[in-house]
Amino acid sequence: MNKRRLIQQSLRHYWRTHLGVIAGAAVGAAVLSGALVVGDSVRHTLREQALARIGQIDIALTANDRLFQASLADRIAASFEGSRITALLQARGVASTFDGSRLAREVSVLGVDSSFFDLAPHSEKMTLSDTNEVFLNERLAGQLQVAPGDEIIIRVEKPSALPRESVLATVEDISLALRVRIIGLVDEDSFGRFSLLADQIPPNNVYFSIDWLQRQLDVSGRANVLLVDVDDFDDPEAQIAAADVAVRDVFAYRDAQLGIEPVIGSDEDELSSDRIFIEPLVEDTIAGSDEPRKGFLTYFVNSIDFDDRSTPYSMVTALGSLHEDQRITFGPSIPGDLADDEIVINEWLADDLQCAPGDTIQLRYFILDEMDQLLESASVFTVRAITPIEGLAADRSLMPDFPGIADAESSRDWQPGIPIDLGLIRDKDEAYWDAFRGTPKAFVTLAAGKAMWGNRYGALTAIRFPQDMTPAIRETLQRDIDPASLGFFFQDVRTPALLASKSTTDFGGLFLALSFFLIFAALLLTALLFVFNIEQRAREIGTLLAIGYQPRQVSRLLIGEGAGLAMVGSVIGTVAGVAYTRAILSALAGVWSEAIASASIELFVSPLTLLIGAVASITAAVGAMWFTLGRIVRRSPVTLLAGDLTDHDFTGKTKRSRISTILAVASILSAIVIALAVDTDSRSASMAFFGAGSLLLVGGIALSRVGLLRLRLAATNLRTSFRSMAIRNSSRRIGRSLTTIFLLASGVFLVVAVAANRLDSSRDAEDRSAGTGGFAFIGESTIPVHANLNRTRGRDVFGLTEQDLEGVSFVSMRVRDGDDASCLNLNLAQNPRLMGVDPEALDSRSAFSFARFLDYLGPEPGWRMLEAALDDGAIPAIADDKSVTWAMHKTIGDTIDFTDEQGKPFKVMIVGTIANSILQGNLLIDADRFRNLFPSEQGFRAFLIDAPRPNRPELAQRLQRAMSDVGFEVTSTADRLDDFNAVQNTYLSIFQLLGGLGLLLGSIGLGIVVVRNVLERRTELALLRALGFNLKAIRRYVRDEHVFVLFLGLLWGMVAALVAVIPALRSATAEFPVRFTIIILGALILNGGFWVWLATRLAVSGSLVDSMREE
Amino acid sequence: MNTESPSSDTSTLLELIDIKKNYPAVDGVATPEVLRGISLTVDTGESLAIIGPSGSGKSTLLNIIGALIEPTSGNVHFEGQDLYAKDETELAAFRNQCIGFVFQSHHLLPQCSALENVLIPTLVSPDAALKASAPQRARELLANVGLGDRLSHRPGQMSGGECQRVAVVRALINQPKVILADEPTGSLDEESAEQLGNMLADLNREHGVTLMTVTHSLALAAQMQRGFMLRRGELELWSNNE
Repeated sequence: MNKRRLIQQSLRHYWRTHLGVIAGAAVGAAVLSGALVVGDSVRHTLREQALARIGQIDIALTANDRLFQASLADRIAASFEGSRITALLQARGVASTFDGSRLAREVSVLGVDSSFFDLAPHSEKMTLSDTNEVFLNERLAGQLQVAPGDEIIIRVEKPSALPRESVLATVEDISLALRVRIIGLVDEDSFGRFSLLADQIPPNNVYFSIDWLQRQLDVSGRANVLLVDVDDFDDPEAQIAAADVAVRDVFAYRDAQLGIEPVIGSDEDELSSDRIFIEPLVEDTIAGSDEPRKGFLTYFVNSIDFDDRSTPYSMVTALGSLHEDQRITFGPSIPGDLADDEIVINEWLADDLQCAPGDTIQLRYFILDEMDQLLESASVFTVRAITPIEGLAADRSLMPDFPGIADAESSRDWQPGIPIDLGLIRDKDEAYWDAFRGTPKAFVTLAAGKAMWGNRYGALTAIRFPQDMTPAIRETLQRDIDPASLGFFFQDVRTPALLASKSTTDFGGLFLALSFFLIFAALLLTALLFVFNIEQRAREIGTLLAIGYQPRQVSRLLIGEGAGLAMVGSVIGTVAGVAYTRAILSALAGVWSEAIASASIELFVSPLTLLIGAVASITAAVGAMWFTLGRIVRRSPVTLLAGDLTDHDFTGKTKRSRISTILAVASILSAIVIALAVDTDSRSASMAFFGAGSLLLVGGIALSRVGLLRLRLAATNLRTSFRSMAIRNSSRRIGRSLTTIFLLASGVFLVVAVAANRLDSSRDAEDRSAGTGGFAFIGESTIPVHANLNRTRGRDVFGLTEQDLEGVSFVSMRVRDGDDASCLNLNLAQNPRLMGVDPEALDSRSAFSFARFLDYLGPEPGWRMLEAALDDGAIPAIADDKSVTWAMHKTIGDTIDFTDEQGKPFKVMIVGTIANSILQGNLLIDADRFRNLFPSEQGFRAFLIDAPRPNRPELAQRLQRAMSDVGFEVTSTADRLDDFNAVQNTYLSIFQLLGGLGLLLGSIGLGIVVVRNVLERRTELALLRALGFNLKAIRRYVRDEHVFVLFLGLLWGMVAALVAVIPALRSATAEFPVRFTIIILGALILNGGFWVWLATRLAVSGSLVDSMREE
Repeated sequence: MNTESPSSDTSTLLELIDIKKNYPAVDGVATPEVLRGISLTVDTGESLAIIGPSGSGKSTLLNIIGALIEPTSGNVHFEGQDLYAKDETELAAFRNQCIGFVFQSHHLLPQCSALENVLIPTLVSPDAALKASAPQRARELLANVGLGDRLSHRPGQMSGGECQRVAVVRALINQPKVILADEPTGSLDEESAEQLGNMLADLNREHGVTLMTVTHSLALAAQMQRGFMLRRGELELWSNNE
């Protein structure tokens, strides 16, 4: 015989009575381990998704808007051993069915070869022929409801050599429609999920043959993304550095879209750029040498005017040495000492304008002002000389390939990126074009040209040098241009992907919190049933104490038993927990899908998690048993031997009552102080009032204890009625009564108070201070919009008239793709999406409400904070408060590291947050700073739209229709906010459901208490019958006692809940759930009523004599 | 006050000095004194009985001696040591090693066999040698009381008298100095009661263990060497002739 055997014997002997305890522990374990398994499943799913997204890719190079030679991949592979590299031509697009009935936006257009699929999670031989045949991923095929064999239209953003935002770039011809035939679907194993951005929503991918796509987009041999599988990717930093070195070693000037070609008819070579303007970096590199270099800047001018005569639309070339102090002659046409205010014109122009040397002529041309608005400017020059059209003055190659001009047959076919009036083109102009094409009609100094037409993309269109210098120039370009500064650098893809899959939210913890009340109720039930069982064995405990066991030794024996039960319950519960998780996951895939933005979570069961769940459940259950057991074993052995557990100790009552009174008064007073002191409109109000409610709950329960203690004392006086006697019965087992009151009150409190925090976006959506910012719509375009939609010309681009958009205004924002940091993305957002916005546009509207801000930037928060110059050079940013806190895990003043397009790291500091807004998921920075950091991110992809109330649906449709080529999608701001709010609201629903289940479980405990109370008093009740009380009276006697306890529980729960929901009742965005509260209260009353009814039935059942004999 | 002259004899096992006990007041109303200054000396190996009407405080007195209830005033010296100077842990150890309790109900654990029930006190005994020899000793003792064939029977499978005999053996297993029996025959039929009485008397004689029993049974009391009557909180010498 030993203690273990004694425990085993007890477990075996009392197994029937212990079944309830096991069931309680099993429920607790199921919920607890279920919550943990949900967390594991989310993590596992995100990890699997991340691996499906990046396949075997470890690092990637994205060249933004630059198009390098696709052969760069092979060159790098040759010098970067142990790697597999593929080049990709990636563009944004919009897909639609052939009949236009279905549309998919945000399509990722991928020009790939078979080596791309080699990097898939499970590489498979997949090839695309050099035709219009494409693969679709399953999601895109599903959205369009198409299958292999079908034809669809893909509208692809057309790469532009000339930056779209430069003055001469075209903005109309920004996309190209391609009719393609689907020949297969790509599943996740074969790279159907390929994306470099972390999001649980699969992308819409369409896979083209890279060769065919290059030809369609007129970028043959070019690519813009490199994907690399590094052999043994164990030291990311070192391996990325090695890859960057490999890029540098093999990088050719052609990869930077530069070309060196001989100048026909001369002994010079010319360096030019496919991007038209030669970047300052390249210019500086070439200029670094002392050798003579000729710089040219040829520009399209609107008119050249003299007196009342005007020559429309001409090319003018600025030329000079790259070294200001170096004089270079440009042949007989151009005087060597041409001054900056002088101009040389050709004979044709002199004839047309009828001007002579010494005359003053004016050039009118478009430039972009500081706000990127097109502005016509003018400069005046004195005619220095008139040159015949020969030599350099006849060099039509001086005109770069301006889009919409260079390849036009006739000047009347011109479609430049600036507004021109083709009606102004005369026959003679057409004849000039036919004869001389874009041969410049005038020449100015390079300094004058740069002053007029230099822009952020460059101030030269060509550099010429003697052919014998070409090898040296090539070497200089190769040696001195750092590819990274042009955006050619590798970034780790694998590490962030796996990190992102750690998830923004710990779903295990979240579901533990959501299940808190359910677990609590299960534990309470477990402890309650266990203690009931132990109470039945009071004599056994008394015996053990009498024969020399210390109370703690007895406790240990009983806890040993409890642990055995908890173990059995936990094992059962942990297994059941898997089924519970399955149920939760199917709810998350169904009714609760909004909580996880419709992500599909796969069940993943880790034995370690189950073990942790089981151990935690056992610990919690044993803890609960220990907590309640102490009360019993500390009783006198003599009392226990008598089997009497009624509290006969009246001496300590006054002290216990005093402590409870102090607790009650302190809690209630604190609650009142908080309720009076905190402004219900303040941000912290809901938390403060929830705290006040909680205090009131504690106070209420303490007060109930005081009351029950007083009732017990009152039992000794003579003012006794049958009803008061019944109510006084509730004080016989104060612990039981308080447990019931506590369980009911806290259940009602939590469920009702939490429900009141549901958000309703439709309230005050028109207010500028609301989460909608007062905007009617949020617009998003797949392909950037380069036009200014607030201007007539910008609207013209999409065929929208002033009448169509009367009263409509846009706040356009630039977007740098990054991780969606909203609650709709389960992945951890490491590099949140950046948006460039004009602070004035939002400040003047006083849009959105600031939640927090860096107070040293000023006394009041505002969008102008984005323009602040921070000491450490960090870029100020404003973001949604929830995104900052929950998705980015940051706070005000924190910084986030980014890398600009030149590979330079920079910091973004959060200087302000806005409350519950449609801007969730993004970091907003100043548009000017954005443009400097990401010059390739041209155009706008996000729009906040003000619109007059009438006909809004029509306006949304009109905008979407007109701008369908760029995949423009218009969403009502209230709907967008609803999407975000749905996450919080769904979690509240989950909490309510699980809380409701907790209440149900708690009510079973309540039932057991009630039935137990009655069964223990059967003799007493029989005695009453023997004394002549009729059945009705006895039923009332039992009913009154329990109704009293129920009433106290509901009363304190409701009072506390009502205090907690005061801010919600007064809030514009929340709604008090009257119906839900009535349902919960009704359900509780019905449930309580049932148990009380059962108790009263039991009270009068059975034989009176038998009951009496039980004594 | 009823006093027995304190003994300075070395064989004195137990000495009660002016023991008083009254229960806490209820609602400010004082309760009557249950024990009014009891003094008593008990020698090693002695057997004595305390009889008295219901509610006279017999069990209270026994519980005070057994360190289950603390007296309101007075001292209990056990082997010269003041019992109530000990802390709770020491008192539990005292009960385990020095006292053997027999109650009116046997209070056997229903989940354990007769042998296991007997061995339960040994589980918390610090005496390793005693623990080691306990199973053999338990078997012998059970055999001695006629339960050698009942070792693995559970309480539910035995008669009330048998259960009470198991309870007596349980009281003896740790070789206590004194057995305190509170109405040990109270729940037994006449025959079983007589058997148990004889058994207790035999144990007292054969094992030299001091025996104090509280009983309503004059027959049982008559088998003890000394008898006392507890009346109105005071102890009076009682003899079988009264």
